[in-house]
Amino acid sequence: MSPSPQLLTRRLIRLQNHTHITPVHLTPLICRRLRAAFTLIELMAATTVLSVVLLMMVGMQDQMSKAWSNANQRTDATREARAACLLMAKDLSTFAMRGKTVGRFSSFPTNLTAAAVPFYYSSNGVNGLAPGGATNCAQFFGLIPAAGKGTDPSDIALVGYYIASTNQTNINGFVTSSYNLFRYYIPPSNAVAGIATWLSSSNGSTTTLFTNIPGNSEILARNACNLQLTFYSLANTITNGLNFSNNTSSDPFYGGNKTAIELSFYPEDVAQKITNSAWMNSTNIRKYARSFEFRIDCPKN
Amino acid sequence: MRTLPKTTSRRLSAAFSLTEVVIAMGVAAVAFTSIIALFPLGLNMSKESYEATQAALIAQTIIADLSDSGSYAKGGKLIQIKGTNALNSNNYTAIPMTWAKGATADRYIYLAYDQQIRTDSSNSPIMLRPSTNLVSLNGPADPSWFTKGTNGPILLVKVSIKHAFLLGGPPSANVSANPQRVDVTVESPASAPATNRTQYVFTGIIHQT
Repeated sequence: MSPSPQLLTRRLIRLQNHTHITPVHLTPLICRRLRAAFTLIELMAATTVLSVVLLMMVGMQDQMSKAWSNANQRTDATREARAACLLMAKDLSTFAMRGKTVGRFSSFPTNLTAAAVPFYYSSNGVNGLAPGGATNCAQFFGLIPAAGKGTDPSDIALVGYYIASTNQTNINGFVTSSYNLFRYYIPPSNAVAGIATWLSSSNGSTTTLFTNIPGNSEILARNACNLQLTFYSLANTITNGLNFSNNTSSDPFYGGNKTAIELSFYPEDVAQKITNSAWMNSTNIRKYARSFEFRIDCPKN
Repeated sequence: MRTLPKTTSRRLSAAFSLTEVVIAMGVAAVAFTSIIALFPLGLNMSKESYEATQAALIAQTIIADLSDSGSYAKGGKLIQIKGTNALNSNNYTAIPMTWAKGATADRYIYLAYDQQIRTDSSNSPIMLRPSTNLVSLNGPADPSWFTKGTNGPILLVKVSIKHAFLLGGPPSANVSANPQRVDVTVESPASAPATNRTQYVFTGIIHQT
């Protein structure tokens, strides 16, 4: 019969109080049972160490998760920007614009009311065609060649780009708003009637050509905060003047027919923190946005 | 005094040996290192995506500059080689599109793009623009800063304009190679030597005029 715990305890106390009694007086079984347990201090120390390690691991996991998420959101923003740039390059390189010496008006237009061909451009979005358009961001609308489908002989489409706000309801039911880059598009089959009406007008003053802009627009890239266009002119200085004239005078240096496009986007995590009023703030754009620019050649002929 | 039995002695002095502790620490270190190694992986993914996009846009811009028919009247195609202001004509240079008699060499342009606050935009965003100091219009030997890498810029760019369609060999007279082939190679990271950089290569065809 094995000794009771009380007996073991008494033996141990006796062992500790009488150092002349060596552990050899105890059987191996008793000795193992006496040592085979952690003390409270040991357990507390181990638990503390474990807690610290776990806290560190959880903290690292949290940081790692955030880093992954942020990286993904930046990659998403870059991917959307790239897609937008590709489409804009395609559209803008074939945009219909005519010089002042070619059109029916003496001065080159920036809006529909004085355009030789239907074309609208606003460098800063003030009183822009698109409702809710972002301030300090460009808007432009015009014609591009596009193949008609089936038996439709039309070959001109209406297209436009602008940044405007959009309201969204998140999963918690809160309504949030953000600015996005939109592409307006009317296919040839629906565009031809409006274009014919516009061209038949004596002064092209109708502003009903680019109709129902929100209904005919789709989000091209989210969280856009900057859209600028620069139309390089064929002149002695580079100006944003839409000047596609045939000026071939001996200007001292610069001449060209190029369009520069500048776009900036906030990553999603940043966009969720920035209020609408601070969205177009230059400091925020410099600090948080990813910006892209490119130029396209616009052949004169 | 009698000695303790072997088993009892080991049990009474039970503790981790130095070897055990070192092995345990080694295992823990490997685990921690593996976890920590995931941090830059995520960041690199974002960085590579950004650089690939910027490389495509830089190539698009250079090929557009070299395609611009309007600028040809100025003695060549005008491309921006430096500066924060793309509307300042002093930041451009003309690349001749004609080839001298007997010429065989291609034309080369070396640029370095760094992040600059634009001065030609109302919102003044930070953009990749050609660095003012690191420009070379000589080739085919690469400049040393391009070969060895340089600190500061984000991307390095090499543009080569080739007699792609002069199938009959070098011109026997001053002729226009028309059209010409343009290769734009964008490399990253700029601080690494050429052999260790990632290359994004784009090709376009341009007309002389």
